[in-house]
Amino acid sequence: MQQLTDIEKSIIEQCRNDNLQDFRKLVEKESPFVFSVAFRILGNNDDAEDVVQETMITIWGKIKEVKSAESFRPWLYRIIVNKCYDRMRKKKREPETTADDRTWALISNKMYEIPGTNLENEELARIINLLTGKLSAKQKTVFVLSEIEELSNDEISIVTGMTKLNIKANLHYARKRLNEMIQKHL
Amino acid sequence: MENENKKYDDLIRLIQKNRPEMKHPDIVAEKIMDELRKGKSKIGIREIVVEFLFGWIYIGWVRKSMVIAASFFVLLFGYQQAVILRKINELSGQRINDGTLFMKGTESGLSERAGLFRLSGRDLAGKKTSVSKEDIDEMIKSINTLQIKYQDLIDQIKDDPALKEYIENRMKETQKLKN
Repeated sequence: MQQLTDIEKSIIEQCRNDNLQDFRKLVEKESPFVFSVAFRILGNNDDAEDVVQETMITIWGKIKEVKSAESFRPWLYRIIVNKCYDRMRKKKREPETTADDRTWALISNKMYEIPGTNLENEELARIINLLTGKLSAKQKTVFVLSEIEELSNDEISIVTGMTKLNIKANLHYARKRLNEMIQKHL
Repeated sequence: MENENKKYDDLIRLIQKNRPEMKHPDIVAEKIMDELRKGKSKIGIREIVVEFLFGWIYIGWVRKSMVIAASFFVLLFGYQQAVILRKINELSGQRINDGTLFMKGTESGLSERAGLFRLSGRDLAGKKTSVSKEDIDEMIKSINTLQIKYQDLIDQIKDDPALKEYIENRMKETQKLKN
């Protein structure tokens, strides 16, 4: 898990004293991180922005619960994941599958033909939805936290409250599913 | 297999290195700060109370424990029901003495009803047992038939002295045996 810088630690300590000006700094520093995690789980720009707002507001309301600056990052992950769960539960929409072939072509291009080029958010959303659209909320979350965010199983267990065995099972299924798709399309 | 793994790793790397970026971070930050300034976001007493009362249900191990406890109680309920039914069946097969007659598990369901009656802690009121008119009529008819047959028998004995003597001797012997 990415460690906080000294500046971030100091900002968090000041926020715990109900200082709204310092919280603004925290919002500016942490929002991109919150957005990226939420985006990778939800695969949607608008939803991810909503999660950023909800997460930051929750942080302001509960920042005194954070025992130390070191425990801030796992706590933040937990809030993001819970907000994403809430959103996935509310939506429960079917993933878009109409443009599968175009998305696989895009993946192929970006992986081999034009290396080094950056993906736009929309392209990334398409790829994420294609890969994780058929996974359950838990499988999706574990996959993103483990494979993309590179959190250890212990850290994921703290964030999601799942047992390590459960995490391994969900991750195994997600990997298997992805490998099947890769075998078929790439 | 190795090729598949490489493709998988490449795909993961592609997503990893392309971190999604907010289009308008300033606008989002401003929205958040506006919300906070309005004071809506500070957690109110209602939220604190709800969190205090029901917040624990979101804890993983508490949920699991509750599921286990619920399953245990369902099984316990099922077991209790089975024991009660077995006891009722046992009781329905037992003899019941209500002071006037003996009953044993009958097909009419009388003994089952009597068993439940006893289970409720009350005694059967034998003196208050009611008899229907049809039963009384049947009983009077039987007595009349019996009287006619008895009279016929007496008449036959009177007409036959040997039979009369034989019956008198038999009655004397029976009386001796009883004494």
